[in-house]
Amino acid sequence: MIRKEMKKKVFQLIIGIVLLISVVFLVKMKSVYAKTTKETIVFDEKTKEKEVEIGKSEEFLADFVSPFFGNKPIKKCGYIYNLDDSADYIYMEFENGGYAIYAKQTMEILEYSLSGKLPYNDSNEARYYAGPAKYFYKNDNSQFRDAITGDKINMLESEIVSFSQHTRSRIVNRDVTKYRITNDVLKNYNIKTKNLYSKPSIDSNDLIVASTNSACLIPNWRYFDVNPLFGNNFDGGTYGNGNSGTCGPVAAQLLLGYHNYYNNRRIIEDRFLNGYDDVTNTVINPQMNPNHCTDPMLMSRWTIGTRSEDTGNNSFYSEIITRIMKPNTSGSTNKEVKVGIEDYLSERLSSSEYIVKYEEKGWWFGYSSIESSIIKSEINKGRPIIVSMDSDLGGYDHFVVAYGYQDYTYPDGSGTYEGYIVHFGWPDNNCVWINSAWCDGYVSLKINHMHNYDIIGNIGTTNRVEYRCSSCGHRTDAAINMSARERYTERVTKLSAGEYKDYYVTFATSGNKLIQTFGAKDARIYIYDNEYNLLAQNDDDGYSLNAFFSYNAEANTPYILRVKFYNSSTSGYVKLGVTPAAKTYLNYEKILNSKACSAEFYFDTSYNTTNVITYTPTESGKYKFETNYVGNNRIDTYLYLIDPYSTDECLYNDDGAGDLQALITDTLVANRTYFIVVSTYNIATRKGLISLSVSKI
Amino acid sequence: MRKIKFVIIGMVLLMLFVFLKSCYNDKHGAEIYSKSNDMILTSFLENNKVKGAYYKDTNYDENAKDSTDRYYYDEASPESRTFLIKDQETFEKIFVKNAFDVNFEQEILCLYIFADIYPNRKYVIDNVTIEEKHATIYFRIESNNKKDVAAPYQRCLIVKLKEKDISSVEFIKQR
Repeated sequence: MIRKEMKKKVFQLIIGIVLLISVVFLVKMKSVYAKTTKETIVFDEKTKEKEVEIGKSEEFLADFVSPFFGNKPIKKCGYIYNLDDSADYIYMEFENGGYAIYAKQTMEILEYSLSGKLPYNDSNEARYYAGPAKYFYKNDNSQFRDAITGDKINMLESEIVSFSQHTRSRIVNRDVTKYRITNDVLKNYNIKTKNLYSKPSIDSNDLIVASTNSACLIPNWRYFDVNPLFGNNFDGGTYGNGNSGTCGPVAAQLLLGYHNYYNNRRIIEDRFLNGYDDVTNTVINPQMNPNHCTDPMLMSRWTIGTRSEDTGNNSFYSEIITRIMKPNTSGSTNKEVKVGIEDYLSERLSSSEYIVKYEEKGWWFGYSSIESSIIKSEINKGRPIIVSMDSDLGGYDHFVVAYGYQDYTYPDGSGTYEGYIVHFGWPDNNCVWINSAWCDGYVSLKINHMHNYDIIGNIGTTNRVEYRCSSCGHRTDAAINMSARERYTERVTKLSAGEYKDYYVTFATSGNKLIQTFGAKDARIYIYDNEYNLLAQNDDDGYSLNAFFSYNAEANTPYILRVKFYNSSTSGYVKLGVTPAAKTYLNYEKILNSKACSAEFYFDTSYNTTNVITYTPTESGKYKFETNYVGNNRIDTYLYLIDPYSTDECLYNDDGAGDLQALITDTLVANRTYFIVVSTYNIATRKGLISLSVSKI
Repeated sequence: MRKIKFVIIGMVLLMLFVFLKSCYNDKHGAEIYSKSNDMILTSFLENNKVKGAYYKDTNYDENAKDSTDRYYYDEASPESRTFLIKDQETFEKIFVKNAFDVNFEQEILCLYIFADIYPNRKYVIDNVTIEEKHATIYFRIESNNKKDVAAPYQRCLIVKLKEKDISSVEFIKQR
């Protein structure tokens, strides 16, 4: 008896499992639809219909129109039909452009546009709708016709029924009040909104070239603009270890190349970089190699790119392919790209020096896009990110590298959409806009490394100085690593119109840092943390139109200090000056100032700080600045004199007055307020009372 | 126990039927040769390029600094090309010798050339309709759970139809 019962239960269980598998299979397959009856459900019979005059109902307008469109006048509204002729949707078109499509039963907004126009014509031909950006008419022979392209669409009866019921079950049949149009009434409304529901599909014959002018880009976006060398990914090619469809490794190559170039030169060794000779195992063409070229800031396709031969032990492209893809395979998943990058980095860096993450939206009774906030967050922190698209979302099954984001308005009136600016991984397609709704995942990489720069020397015959990180070898001409002993430092840069210069800055000691610009032009400065969160900025608190602020910095923490001109059409030189001033000042005018022909100042110095004053001569002429002992305190001192109007190197002196005291003489211009820094010689180890005298010679 | 076995077998057969039905559509006896570039004469392909694809530059210098100069992008050619092959003479102008067997007494070949980005995926036929000697072939690409795009290239699809009386053909790609 018990055995019979068990047999019965096992039998029922097996039937249930097999049925479940069959159902899942049927739902997932695209070409197979079960036959259904012609009768379709339009409304949930439990809910009541409520006649609402859409144009006149204040409540209706307040709930469903005004939040999105303000007071914009409604030009026209009517029904749009589901594919099985059920009037499931209501559309509204507004005066001077703009439209919305609502699910009729719930008034859930499915699609809308600020200024666009629905692609339907103005005839009385019935309008059909199959979801965002899918507009149709029906020909006499019941064949659907794309309202935009005119293409004929053949669908089986079963497909029509199934699709219509599926969409209705998602947006209709809820226990809410339903709405029916009974009257069109024009009213005045304003519009202010954006299309949140995409999406036209991607077209490889018509990739959208992004405009970087109004985009939000990572600070080092020029890396992708210059377009580093990267691997081939063509039909018929065999790459890595018999691989093809290598868009994932191409994206990983670009991402790792970027981080190697900017964040840690230990990521990619010389043999994987351009200019390397495999026979002699040396760099024979240094101008192609970022670690050996004369100018560390040289950005060419070779210096910023990596070796990209199809195969070979010293091809970085091939190396990355073999990390990501199994031999003789095509394509990769987000997880495989992530694991491959980690696998490579684990042999180059310690695990604390990098973080690789990924996410990919799967299928769960429908496809969904990855949240754009995740991608944008990475870009806002100054990091490019690998983004995956999916053909089921209107994109391609493809990996790209995003380095910016921007809204885009289709010129055909399809609407405005969120999207990313990407390197597409195809030749010459390094600045392409893709719709965020096409994207189903990402792979992100963060490098945790703080540069510690040593001064190397002048760059060629220029006045610029090269700095090199002592731990990773990164090279730059824009570094400020203020040691504990450093009293004042300045950097001069030449900016083109619209250009800015980012300095990588660290301080060995915490505390107040007085940061300002000098020169004759209107300049601005910004200070960010290493994820480009803005910490402080200033425009005109310095001398004349220069920038100036005091910032309380942390020790051994990287900052980005950005200098640019106020006007994007201005070009020329600007000087940046930094000193660990003992006091904070709201602006240049608040600094202790003297105009006297002869003056004496006393400073009670403290560790790791300097003292600053300003001096405004009333007459042009030669002046002397000299430090002195106070009482019996024989303290070695140092002195700087900065002309705020000039970008020339400042005057500085150690022991010019003799007996460890500083002396500077210079011809000053009347009524120009000069900036003076005075301190002990070694501010890290010596403090005490010192004095400064100023006199006209 | 016997009953259970019969039921399980029946369910498995049902699943197989459903699966196979989705994989093959034999409308008008259509057969598709999804990866058929190798069946086409190189000279024919060179003379029938399509827009939106990259092609190898025959003048490429291996010693050139920029490896991407190896390929160039076609923006001038038509977006696609369609050919109807109804006799042996036309066949020999297009296909390599012994590319495959076709009986022109009862069959015709339809060749479609276009720019594609999925070199490792097959295309399948969804439907074939014939109206007034005009054949419309609806095809789509098989899906894949991997991202496997390549740069656009010239791809050929060949469809053999068990029809004789066709004067024009149209290929429509479905998503």
